[in-house]
Amino acid sequence: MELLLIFLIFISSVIFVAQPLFQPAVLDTSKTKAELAALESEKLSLYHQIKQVEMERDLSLLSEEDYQSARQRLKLEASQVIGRINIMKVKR
Amino acid sequence: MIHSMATLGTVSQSLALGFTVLSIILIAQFLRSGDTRLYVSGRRSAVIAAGLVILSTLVLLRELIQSNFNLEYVAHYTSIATPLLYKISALWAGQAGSLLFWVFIVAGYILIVIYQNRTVNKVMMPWVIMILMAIQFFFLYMTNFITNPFSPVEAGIIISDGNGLNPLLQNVTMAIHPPTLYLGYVGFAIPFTFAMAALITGDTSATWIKLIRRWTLFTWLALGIGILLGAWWAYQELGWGGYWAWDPVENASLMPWLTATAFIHSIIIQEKRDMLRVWNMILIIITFTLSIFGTFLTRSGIMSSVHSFTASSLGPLFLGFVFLILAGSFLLLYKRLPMLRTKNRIESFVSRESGFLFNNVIFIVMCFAVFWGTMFPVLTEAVRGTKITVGAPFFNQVNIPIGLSLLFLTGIGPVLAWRRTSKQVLIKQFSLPVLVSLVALGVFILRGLQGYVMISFVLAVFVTTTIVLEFARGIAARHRRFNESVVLAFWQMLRKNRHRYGGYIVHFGIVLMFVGFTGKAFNREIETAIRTGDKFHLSGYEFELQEIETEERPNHFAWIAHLKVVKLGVGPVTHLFPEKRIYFHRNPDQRKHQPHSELDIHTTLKQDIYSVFSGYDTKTKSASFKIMINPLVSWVWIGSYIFVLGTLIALWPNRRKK
Repeated sequence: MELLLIFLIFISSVIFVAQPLFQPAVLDTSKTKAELAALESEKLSLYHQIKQVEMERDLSLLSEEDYQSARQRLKLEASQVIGRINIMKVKR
Repeated sequence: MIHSMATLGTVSQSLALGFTVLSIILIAQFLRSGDTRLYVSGRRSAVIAAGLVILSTLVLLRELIQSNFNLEYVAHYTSIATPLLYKISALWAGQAGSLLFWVFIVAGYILIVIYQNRTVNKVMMPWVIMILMAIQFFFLYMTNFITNPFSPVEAGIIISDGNGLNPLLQNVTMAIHPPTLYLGYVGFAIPFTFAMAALITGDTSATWIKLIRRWTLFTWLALGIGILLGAWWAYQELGWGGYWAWDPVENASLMPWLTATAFIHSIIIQEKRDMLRVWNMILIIITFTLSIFGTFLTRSGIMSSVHSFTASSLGPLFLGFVFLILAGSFLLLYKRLPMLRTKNRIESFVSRESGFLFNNVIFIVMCFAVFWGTMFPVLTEAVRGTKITVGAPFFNQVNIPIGLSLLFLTGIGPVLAWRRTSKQVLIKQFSLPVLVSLVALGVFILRGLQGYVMISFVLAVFVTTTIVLEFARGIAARHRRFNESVVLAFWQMLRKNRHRYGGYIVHFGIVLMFVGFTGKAFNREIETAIRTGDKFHLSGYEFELQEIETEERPNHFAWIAHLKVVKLGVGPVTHLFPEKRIYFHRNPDQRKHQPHSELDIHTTLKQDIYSVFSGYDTKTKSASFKIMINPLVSWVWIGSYIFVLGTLIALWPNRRKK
């Protein structure tokens, strides 16, 4: 009985692992998707950073001058990232 | 049937090893060919391997609960009289079981990582799974071939009852402490594998950091809770009156926690300013290596003797694994150095970045000091043949000033601005905390405090003031901007900036812990032997031994002392009931009897009255006691709760936008 249980576990595991190998071949295209995902994540991070500098200005941790320059820089970076995302989407 | 279940356990862990290897081969083939069928198959193999590990662990657990003494491990760590909870905790009480438990947690984490990333991070995931499988392979190799928990007892021997669990481990805290610690130790494998995957795939941006930030926080919290539970257990159970002895096993858990703390701070800089990419890689490599090294320290026998280490095959294997991780990851890091360079530099000494950097340096120095002190006996024994041990005084002497520097930075760092902090901002942020600290300094001097004690209390006041001000400024800013009430502003501020304010709450918890640590400077103790009706005094308290009661329980015999505690000039305070126990007292073999002191503590916010019934002479009826007055210990535990609360706030996921 126990040996049968062990045998069943083994056989079902082998079938579960081997099953995809009998499907039609698909080549990996995840690199492009990953690049796009990375850019999206960078965009969100930059938005978050813009919110953060606003908060630091409110908490008097940043002078108005530093706040403006940081905000400008982050907005510029965000617009560049958005540009790259758009180009990638058009290519796809 | 019982015997067959053990066979199922053995076969499961052997099959797990096989599927682990298969997974590595399939994913490696996918990375060569790009055929996604191989990846899917390799991933499924990883899932099966993890499932089989979980199955074999459950089988061992069943054998422990069912008292199958045909297994050497079960007979060694449990007996029929062992309560159910401790039969379960026997799973991690011994070497073989704890290593299987290690793989069990790895397996659980692998399943979670695979599930979380089933449709995303497709470039990194093959590497992540492959590296995790390699780690799992190492531990499965050991549980299969070096220290197998399913090993049967010698042929022909029938064991009717087992040895039972060490009485010191028969404590609820001890049933929770090791798994929590292991959740932490093992968990660092996840950020480590993502870091390595990022290096291999060449994605050296902050993407991997975003993926592992919550994992790291969770792991860091688990390790932190594990350490604190260990301290609580030592205080409640060991009877020496302290919670931290700088024991190698304690140090082994502290070291990765220290580097992980540095890492948690340091990744913020990479996220915000795209700096310290290399440093973050180094920190996570060291943290993971130290977590393996911690397991090595506790499991190889090296701390008891270099000779016992070389005599077992486990120690050299562990050491080899540690070197393999270090060599492999640093070689990879070296090859990727050009990709990790960034253009951003620290612009000013007075900035948040430099504050974090100082904090990092101090954590690393502290970790090195602990490492050096822990390994010194091993090194001296290996080089000179005699073991020279450095005790708690060395660790305290080195780590107290380092700890106080960290406490100081806890107050400074968060209120510094990124890039540079102007003179005006600096004055505005620090005027009030400095003023309050100066007032506190005056009060403490008048009360006769000096040295580290005074510095610690002043810094506690300083950091608390900066934290309170940070909350007040945040609330005021929201009130100005959104016209919210104070309560709503506080709630929204916390909700929208969980990392920041969760972090402040953690810092406050640390401050309270420091207050508790500092109380140790005022500890008082007495050791005495008395008979029923006798009295003795300590620090304005009178202790009277009123009675010694006896009681026989399922797995031990106990003498229970009734101590009446009276505050002189005030009146009765409490009754304490410390116990002297003899475990396995029914065993005819006297050598199997194990004495144990179960202590009793009266706790208040001001101090603990700590009583240990250390011995009882049945002929003379003389009872020996150790009594300690330990001020401020409660604050260590209150600080711990706040530390956990703060981390949970920082960990709590943001609501996903639909």
